[in-house]
Amino acid sequence: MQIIKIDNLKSEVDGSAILKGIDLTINKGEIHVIMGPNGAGKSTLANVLMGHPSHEVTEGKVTFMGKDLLDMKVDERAKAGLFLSFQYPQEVPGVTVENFLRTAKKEVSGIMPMMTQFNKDVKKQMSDLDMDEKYLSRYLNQGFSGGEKKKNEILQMAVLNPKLAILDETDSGLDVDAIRVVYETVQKLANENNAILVITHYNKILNYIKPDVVHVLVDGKIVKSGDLSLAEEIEQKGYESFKNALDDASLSA
Amino acid sequence: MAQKTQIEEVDRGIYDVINPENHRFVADKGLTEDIIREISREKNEPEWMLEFRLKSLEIYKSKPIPTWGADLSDLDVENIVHYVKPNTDMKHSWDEVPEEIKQTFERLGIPEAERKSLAGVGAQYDSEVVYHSMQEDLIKQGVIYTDMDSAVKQHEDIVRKYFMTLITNRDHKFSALHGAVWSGGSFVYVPEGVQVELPLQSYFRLNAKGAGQFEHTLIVVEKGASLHFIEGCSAPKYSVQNLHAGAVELFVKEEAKLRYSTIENWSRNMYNLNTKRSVVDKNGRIEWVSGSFGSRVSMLYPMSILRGEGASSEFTGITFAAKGQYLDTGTKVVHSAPNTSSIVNSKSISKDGGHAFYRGLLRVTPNAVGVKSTVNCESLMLDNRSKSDTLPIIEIGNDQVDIGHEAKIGRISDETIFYLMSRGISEAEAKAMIVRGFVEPITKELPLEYAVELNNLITLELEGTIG
Amino acid sequence: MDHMKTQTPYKVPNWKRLTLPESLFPVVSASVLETVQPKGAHHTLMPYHGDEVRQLIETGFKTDAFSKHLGGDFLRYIDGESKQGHVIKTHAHTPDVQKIKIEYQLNDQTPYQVENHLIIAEAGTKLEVVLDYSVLNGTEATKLEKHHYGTTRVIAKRGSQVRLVKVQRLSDEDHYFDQVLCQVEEGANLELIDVQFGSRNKAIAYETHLLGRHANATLHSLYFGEEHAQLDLSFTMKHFGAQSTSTILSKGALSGNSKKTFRGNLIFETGAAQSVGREKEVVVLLDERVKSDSIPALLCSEDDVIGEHAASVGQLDGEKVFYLMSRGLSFMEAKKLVIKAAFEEVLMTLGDETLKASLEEALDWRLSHGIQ
Repeated sequence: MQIIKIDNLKSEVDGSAILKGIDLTINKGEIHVIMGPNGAGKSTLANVLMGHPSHEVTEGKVTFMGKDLLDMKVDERAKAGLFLSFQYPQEVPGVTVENFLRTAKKEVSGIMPMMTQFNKDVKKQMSDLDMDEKYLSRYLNQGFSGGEKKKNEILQMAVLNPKLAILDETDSGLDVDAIRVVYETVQKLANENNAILVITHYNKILNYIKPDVVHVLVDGKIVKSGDLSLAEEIEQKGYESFKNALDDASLSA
Repeated sequence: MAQKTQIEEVDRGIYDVINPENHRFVADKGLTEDIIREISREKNEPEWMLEFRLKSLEIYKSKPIPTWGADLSDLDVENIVHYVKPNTDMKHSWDEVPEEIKQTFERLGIPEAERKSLAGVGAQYDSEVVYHSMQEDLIKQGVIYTDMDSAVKQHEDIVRKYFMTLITNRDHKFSALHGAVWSGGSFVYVPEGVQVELPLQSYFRLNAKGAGQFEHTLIVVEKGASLHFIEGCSAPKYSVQNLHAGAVELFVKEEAKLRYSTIENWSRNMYNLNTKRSVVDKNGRIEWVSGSFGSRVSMLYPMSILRGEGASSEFTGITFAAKGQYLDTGTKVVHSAPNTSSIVNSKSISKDGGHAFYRGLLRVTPNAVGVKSTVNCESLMLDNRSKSDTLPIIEIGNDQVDIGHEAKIGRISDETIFYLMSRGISEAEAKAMIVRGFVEPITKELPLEYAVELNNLITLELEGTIG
Repeated sequence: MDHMKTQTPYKVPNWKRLTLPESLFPVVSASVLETVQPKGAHHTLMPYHGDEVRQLIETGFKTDAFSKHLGGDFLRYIDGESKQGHVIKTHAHTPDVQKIKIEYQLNDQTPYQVENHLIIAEAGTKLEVVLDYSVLNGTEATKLEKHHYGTTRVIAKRGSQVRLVKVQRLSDEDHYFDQVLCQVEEGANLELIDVQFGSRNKAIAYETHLLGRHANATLHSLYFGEEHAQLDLSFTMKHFGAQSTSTILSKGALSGNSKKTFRGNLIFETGAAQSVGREKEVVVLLDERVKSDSIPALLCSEDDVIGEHAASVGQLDGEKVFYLMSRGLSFMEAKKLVIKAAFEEVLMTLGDETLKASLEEALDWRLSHGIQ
């Protein structure tokens, strides 16, 4: 069953084209990885799917859980089961992590969770992520180190249980141990009913999660898709060869 | 947050309840010596108080209306009836209070507060304290908590020693007016070493058309004692100008501690020119927690005078200026003794053409060495029809100081709204969350009902924008 | 001790925070000695006088839009009595930096200076102007109090880059009153550096209007107040254009019986969306008798901006001081070194080695004299 189908998605920021025709389908139970050089448009894809106001969609269609995603407001997309782990999570002073998690859970699931059970669940997730319980009473992301912010994002993912989780450069800012803990948690959260889209330019994370499909995104388009061996190819040859492939493709088009 | 549903039920209407006028004695419009004598006679005051009132009247008549700050030219003070007395005497238990008056207070939540074991409630209705009840513990500890009118007669020595010595009738026109026509208010005296565990709460209400409120609060916390006093206000809407020129004098003695919390929520046609001042002795501490909403014009600068070595003050405040409001608020701290310290955390929100103006003074005299002070002002503007100004004045008179001052102005960031919405929260709720988060440092200093009231007020105010 | 030959009719105003001397506004008989060093072939440098200039101002410069910082009396006096100054204008479409340095020396024969300058950088051009005011004192017997009064107007046209440096090093009994009014147009960049080292009474006011989109202005102010010095420093950045940016950074030290008032005004007018303004004041205090007043104002009528100000009085970078003391310096010595470092940050950007060296020397002298 399809979780998301992206058809010829094109977008602009301040008049400059970034996404130049993305085609991508993710089914239930799958883990996809998108890799590519800096500036290729990987984070842009994540932000466009989530509905970031600075990005303008100029063409294309996205069907998410059978519905037109681009037609929905940001919060509606979240309620529909879309989750984005941000590359640079925002600080929200005055709002505690605990309060925030409960509010978000209520919004996304439609029911206010029972306090004691919820607390128990959250604390268990935190312990799995190697996060100190003290973070619950701290203000959302305020004063958190880069790594702590990323863990907090994954904590939210664990609590909200989305249908499709997009992880945007979640490994940046994390030390080796944290990367392991975070991606082990992500692998645990992946099941046959949901899907994960990992965006990274660092392919060592492939040591921790096993993707079903690997895509290479160069200059706003997916130039090649394959299995894990594609990732090895990137490691050996770098992105240059794929950039050339793009040129060749456009020459022959 | 679970409170969201509750918040939607609260509506502005509760605060706009109007009772038909039903008063025993109404002072003539216009302020003359005879009226002052009448007021004093009605209250059965000692001679010295009458003389003080008359002297104040003289000074009031000789001073011009101040030209800085808010535009007060609209305010025709002489036509405000200053003294209105409701037709009931002082009561001790809730049951004895007349139904009508009871209902008004009931709607405003006072009985609940009483039930929640607050130490005592003094509720002012039209210039006279109507209802008072004291818990036995307080009386046993020697704490005096009564209305100001009774205090003048029953505790003459203490009152006379302190009354209007901190805010004098020579300070400005409205303090002189206050000296002439003050009525009602709270008097609290905490003897040496007594720790008053539960907060004392007071509540004011303005009702009759054109009546002004001139309540006087006088609190003395003796050596080593401590107290938390809460003052909350509300008034219905009127088309006639309403003036609030109250005075609060707080005396914090050596090693004593006083926390003074207020939420001011006067209705949109009020002129709120309240003067609040405290003086702190050696190693004493004053804490101000202040929420300014409502009123058409406010000029409010709680002032702390740190005159004893080691004294400290902390001010946490929020000002919310919405459509048609000009809120000129701030705080003044004077360090006139060595090793004193102060912290100021002031936040303001302006929207819909509202104008929030922070005016602060930090003064360190030449002999006040070893002073440490941190001031933090943050302003949130919700649209560009509003204005937000910050004008702090820092005057330092010696070189052994550690002074830091910061101010920031900005708006709710789109990135933050996007982030919250990406977690399923609607745009309106995301903005409300951010604003509540902004105000949180103040909310958390208040007792629970006040925190809830504050959050309610904010939601009410915001609903205006988002609708 | 004042030998002013003749007095003009202007009244000495009454200021709240700075006590002005009893006699000001003298009649000026002759211009002060000046040494002009221009570099670059694409600019014009002419004396400031006459209708030509008035026209230039009228077409480009909106004097009425600016506040009267020093007050009407000062402004009328300067306009009425001004006997020197320049119009400096770059030639349009010239890419290389034009540099003009003018050194003024007040002395006992010409103790009074009243000047007007007009600096215009045409679109896309680059201009640097350094104005350095110092004194040459005669013997004690003939020594006169020197006075400086001046107005400088700057127009930074579209896409231009302008830097204006003003250095004041009169002696301790002299008086310096100066105001600088600037207009910055779209995409232009204005850098102001103001160094106040000498004089007894000094009042300066800088007001910059960021008129166009992406206009940018920074102001660095350095001062050292000693003995009986009184300083009144007013810096205003007014944002009109969208996405305009400004920075005010004022660093100073006060010793002896000196007194300072700092007025920082960061103003955002409606329409200056997405503008960013920052204001920071750092003062180090070196004597118990000093007085420091700061009024960092932030006035905002536009919500889509970032406005910040910070004032730090008497605070020292604890880490730095600790580090220095751990290497054997006393607290006072560490303090002085920290001051030097703070001043260096600005002096480094002067781009004029001789000037920088002599200012460093002046700073050293002040740090070692009169401070226990």
